[in-house]
Amino acid sequence: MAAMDVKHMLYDYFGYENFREGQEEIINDILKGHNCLGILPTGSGKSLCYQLPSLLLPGVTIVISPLISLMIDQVKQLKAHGIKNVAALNSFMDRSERAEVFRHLGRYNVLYMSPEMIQNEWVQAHLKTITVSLLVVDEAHCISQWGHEFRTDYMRLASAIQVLGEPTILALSATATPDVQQDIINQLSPSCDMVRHVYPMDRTNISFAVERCSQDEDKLRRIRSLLESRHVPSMIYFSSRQWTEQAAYYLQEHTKDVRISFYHGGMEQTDRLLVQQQFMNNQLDVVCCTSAFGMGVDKQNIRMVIHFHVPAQVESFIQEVGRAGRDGRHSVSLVLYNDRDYHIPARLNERELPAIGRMDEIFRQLEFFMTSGPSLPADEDMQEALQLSEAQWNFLQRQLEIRGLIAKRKIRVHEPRFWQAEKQRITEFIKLRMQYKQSKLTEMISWIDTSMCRREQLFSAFQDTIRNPEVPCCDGCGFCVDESPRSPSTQARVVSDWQERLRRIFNQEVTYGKT
Amino acid sequence: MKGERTLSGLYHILTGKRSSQTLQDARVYQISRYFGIYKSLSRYDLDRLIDELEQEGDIERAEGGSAYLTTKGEAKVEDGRDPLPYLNGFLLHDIVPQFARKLLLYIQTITNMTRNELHFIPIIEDKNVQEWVRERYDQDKKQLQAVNDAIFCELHAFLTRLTETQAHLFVNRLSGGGYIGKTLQQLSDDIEYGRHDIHVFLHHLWSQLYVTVRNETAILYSFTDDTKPLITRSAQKTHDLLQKGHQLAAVQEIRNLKMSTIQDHIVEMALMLPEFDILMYIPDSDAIHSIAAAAKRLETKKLKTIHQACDGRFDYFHIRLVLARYLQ
Repeated sequence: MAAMDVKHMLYDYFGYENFREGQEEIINDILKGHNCLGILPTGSGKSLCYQLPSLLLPGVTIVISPLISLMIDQVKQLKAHGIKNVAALNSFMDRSERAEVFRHLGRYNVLYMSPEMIQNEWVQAHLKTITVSLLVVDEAHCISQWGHEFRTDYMRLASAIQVLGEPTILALSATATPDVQQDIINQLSPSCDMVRHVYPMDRTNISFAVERCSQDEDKLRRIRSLLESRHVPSMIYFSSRQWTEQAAYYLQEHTKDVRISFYHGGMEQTDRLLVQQQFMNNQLDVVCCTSAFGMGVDKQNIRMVIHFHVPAQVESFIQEVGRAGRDGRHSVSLVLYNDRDYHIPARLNERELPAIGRMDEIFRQLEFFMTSGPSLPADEDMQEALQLSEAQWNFLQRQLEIRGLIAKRKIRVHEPRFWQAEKQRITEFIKLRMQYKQSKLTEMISWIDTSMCRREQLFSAFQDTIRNPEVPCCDGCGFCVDESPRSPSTQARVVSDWQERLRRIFNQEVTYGKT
Repeated sequence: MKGERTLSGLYHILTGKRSSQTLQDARVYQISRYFGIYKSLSRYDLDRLIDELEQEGDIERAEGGSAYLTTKGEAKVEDGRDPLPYLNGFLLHDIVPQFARKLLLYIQTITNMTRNELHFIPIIEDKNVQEWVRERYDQDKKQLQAVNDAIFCELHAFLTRLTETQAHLFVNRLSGGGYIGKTLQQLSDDIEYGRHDIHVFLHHLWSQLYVTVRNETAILYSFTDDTKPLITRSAQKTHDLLQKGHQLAAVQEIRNLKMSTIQDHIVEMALMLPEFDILMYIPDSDAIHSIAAAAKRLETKKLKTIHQACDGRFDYFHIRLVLARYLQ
């Protein structure tokens, strides 16, 4: 395939005239059949690196993606671009929907799949009947125990891949330190023949700042004054659903001419979709959100990303900040921090793992279930019986599965001494995870506490050299948020008259004063 | 439900649980219109709404998970005219949302296509609806602009018959032509009603549109499901007998029902079937004028008040008929 043709397809299918940094190199390598590891910053168009080749390769491109919402967004976007032979296989589909996908398996260009799904024997049997040209592992850092989002079902990916013949492998991530990169290569490609394409993740058009506030009210007041004076598209991150709503109400009450809404995972699906699209469509200026927002939001002109609460690790922070300024223009990251905030992510971390002090008690309960029947009760009942949160039970169940004690809910090992032995190992593993999460949090907090260059502190773990920013660097280097860009009020006029709005929707001549 | 059923029973009715107990409750307490009108309501939210009513002193919770109206609450119900006459949950709780989804997605599609906006993300994710709209779009492809304009005209005509608030809700929920529709929360901020009220208002508006277009030969008619009846089976039987020329008394005898039930059927027809002629059931055309004038003058839909204002010349049945036909 000549370079010209690839460029034509870029324009015809995706509407871009030129590739962004890294895309062309990775695509060419893939088309030559080389395994690749691509580390590209958020918002740099990672998915294009496989979407475009998928149209040129003879067989199917399978994409392993950890989040169902992310898969569904990607499918929607591809379809919007006119690439219709795409589907996402996930556990939320009912049987008939899934059967429909399998009936046409060979016809797809891109097939998204969760890591559990590709381990399913039935799925594998079907996949063996078709040619898989390219296997993409998205968010590949999940495969590494040292990655910030380690997922146990990624760990077993390597063996599942072998079933597919020998497709070209592309591992993608936005945030992987050199250790994690090596770990990804070791696991996915035993012969270590992966070409590394690592692109700098320091964004040269973003200025960083942290401001200390002694009260939550001070944070809100600060945000309010920034929004009123700037009128720029902004995202504000919170740690809880409740906070997004409260803050949105406060800001709506106390600002003029700023259009604000909230977004979190607990909203109705339709409304989530509407908020996302309103924001993309510049019908909203500000979204108060949890980390659930952002995946698949490809908005170019976000000028300000504010963290009302900080995430529990630097990688998430980089990812969230990376949503600002995709158009390359000057944008700002602002963290509002209060010393008591430290406890919020720490508490969230604890809620994800079973408490070590409770392991004996938990295993006594498990032993009871083990002796009283062939299977464990349903998930909700297990959570209830063991007094674990959903996340904690998921974690424990995975551990029991990986260690061969159970398969789904069925109990495979009935001898208590094996369970006891695994209890020790799982406890050790939890300790390790706790320490790891704690160290991640400490890293995040020490970034907040630093008085040196924030840019350097933030990115030096990920890349050797830090580029010179094109905009004021950070508060460590003398930047102050009050110098950040303002936009002349470019708001679309608010149409409050329903008749006028209806005419505009249907592209009818707008006649004023008539009914 | 007069403190005789639990709030769970109420919850099952609103969310449309198809159990015989729920269906029977809906009938017995004459609230089958509310069946399944709020499928996505969470139990938690219902409990919060009940809490609010309790704090207002409109209802009181009783032992065993039920609740009943207080005198204050009853007065409110009697005061208020029925703000949701077109709810027809028992027959249409699935049909109306399906109609809404088809039309919403079609409007988004056609208003984008006529502007040459070929890339957009559908606001309706339901695969069956997308498939339906795709086929429909293919059929209309050659006359997109004409269909676009016709839908505009039909909607505009429908909306001008509503209150400003109702039209605002309906239009602002639509996506297309460069606009993305508003969320329930945003609509709730616009008109200062609760998010749950907005859900019910919208459901009601779509029900009203559905009934309206089912009775007109309109473009929008083709988005409805005309295999599904608009009136209950029992009312349909009454309707058929009347069409054959039987008098009310004869129908009552044949069907072996109470006269009040037959009258309920006729009111139902007046509301749901605009071609149904109500003149035959009213003393004279002057009655329509008098009743309508009284209702307008007094700004009320309370039967008793209107009855008195007309010096008792018309009975409640006549008043209900006129209100159903002319004043909803």
